[in-house]
Amino acid sequence: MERLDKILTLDDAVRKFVRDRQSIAFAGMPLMRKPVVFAREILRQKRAGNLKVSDLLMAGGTASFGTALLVGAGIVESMIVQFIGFERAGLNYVIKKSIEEGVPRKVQVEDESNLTFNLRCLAGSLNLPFIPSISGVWGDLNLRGLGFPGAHEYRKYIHVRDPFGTGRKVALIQGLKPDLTVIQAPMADKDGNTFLLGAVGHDDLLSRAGRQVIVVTDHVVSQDLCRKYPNLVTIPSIGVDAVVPWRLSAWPTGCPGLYDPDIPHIKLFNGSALRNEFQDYLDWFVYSYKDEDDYLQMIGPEAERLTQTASSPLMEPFRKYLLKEKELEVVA
Amino acid sequence: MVGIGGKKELLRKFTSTEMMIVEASRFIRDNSTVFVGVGLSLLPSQLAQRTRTPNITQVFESGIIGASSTGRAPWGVDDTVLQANATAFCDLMSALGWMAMNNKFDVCFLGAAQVDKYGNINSTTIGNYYSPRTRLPGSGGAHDVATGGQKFVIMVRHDKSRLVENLDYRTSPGFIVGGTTRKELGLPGGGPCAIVTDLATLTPDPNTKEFILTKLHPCSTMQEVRENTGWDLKVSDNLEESLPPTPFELEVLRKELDTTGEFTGWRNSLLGSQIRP
Repeated sequence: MERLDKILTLDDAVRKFVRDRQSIAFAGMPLMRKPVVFAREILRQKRAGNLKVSDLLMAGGTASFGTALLVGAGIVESMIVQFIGFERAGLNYVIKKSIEEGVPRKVQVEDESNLTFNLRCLAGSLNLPFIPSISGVWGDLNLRGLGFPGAHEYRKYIHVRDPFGTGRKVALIQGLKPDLTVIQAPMADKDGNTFLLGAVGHDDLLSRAGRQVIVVTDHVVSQDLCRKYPNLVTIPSIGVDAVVPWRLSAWPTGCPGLYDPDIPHIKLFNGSALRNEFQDYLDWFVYSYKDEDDYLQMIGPEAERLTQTASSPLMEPFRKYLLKEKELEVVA
Repeated sequence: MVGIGGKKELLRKFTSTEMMIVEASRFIRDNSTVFVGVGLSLLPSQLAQRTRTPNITQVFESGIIGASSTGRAPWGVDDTVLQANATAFCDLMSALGWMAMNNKFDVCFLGAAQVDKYGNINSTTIGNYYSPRTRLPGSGGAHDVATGGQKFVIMVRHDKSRLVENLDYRTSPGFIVGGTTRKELGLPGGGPCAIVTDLATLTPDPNTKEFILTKLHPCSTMQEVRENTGWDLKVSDNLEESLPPTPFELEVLRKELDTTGEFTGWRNSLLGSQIRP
């Protein structure tokens, strides 16, 4: 039976759901809706001695900022990737260093395309062991498969011909169910009904594939919004195990409707990796803040500029449904 | 054709990267649907919509459809500036699984770190895959668009380490080993229609599917192109010269799409006195 009111604090959610050798998928695209603050909190809880993690398996969801933090801190053993980098804002030097130089440790990589990864999640969400695909028929994507969980190598795509008579060649690819999927959202209600603004990317599929799903949301909305516009719920509460409110939770990636990606900060982060100053980055931007308000202070006046996003009209119809902090305490 | 001295003189008016973006944008017809790739391949459709072909529909793999090109250039296929004025939002599965595999795109743009003479692409690793010298972003949606797309333009900088005889890693399919091999494999899309570089445009021979030199940029020489190609490049009997960028195209590129010159290098490589964006 579904438990209602799933609001948890960020530190509680990390301690309750994250386990070592677990496969974790971060939803979002390279510059959009990455649950970065959740990755920060994993590192913070580990440092505080509240969490023992040393070998996480990152189960896809384009390797961007959050994944880079965990890889740079040396607590990722292996990962499925479709795309590593920040698009025009630069390559992902933290992850590059780990693959090319083994710094701070060599991460095992399994490559997928965006579609083959999505199909694996679709199979996972349908509880199917495998699914046929046209992508993967040619090329080196099937050089190495890492069986998750456990990261043992397995035979990857298997090519077969359509047994129904067309003779078309397809690749059979394995289904994937990440142990934990973390979604970043602009708004969700306390039960977990989640609204996404802008392109969906693969967030919907990842939420359905995950064995457990956490939504980190910038705002909590009144359930009136769901009852008024149920069509607009991208992820229904049935698929959500915890709702974690935290403002600017995707920073420095963007959240359509709320704020732009912080390109100067992404470049600063990349620079710190290039100059071997990644530990300093962690000290400044991961271990430095006490709580949410302190975190917002850390981002500082820059936040003002980021929230002047051209995409803010997407959010306009929903602003009146946002719950204030006081109302939140009442529901929590 | 202008002599070698005159050709290099042109590079005081525009950079070879600007030439590459402009030339790639010429594959876009008005009222068509364009699949937009990552990196430099984001720019041709942005340029085209702001100049020659205002009525195109751009599709981005994140699931953005119909975002019109206004304001600053997007940082990526998921940037908020594209989410601001789209006509529809869907998801990755729809863009790459449905649209790409069912011939919904008139032309697609893909970047590459390496490309071979049959238009197969590497965007994953340089060196051995298991212990790579250089790790690149990886497939993203490129493998899927190359598999399903009817027609795609590959954008790559022209040098021997990029236009190679053999790929270090086979990320996305072109014409496999030429001839009818792509067709025999049963891939739904028609394959690559051009390799546009900063020096020239290569197109596939209709029978062998080997890419040959068909268009020389006005700022480059045949010798330069052949010296910088990793295979024995054949030259078309009907070799043409591409037109230089128009002043309007350069103005849009510099004033709107790359104001800092970070991507096209226009601020650094042009003589300061001549910069009149």
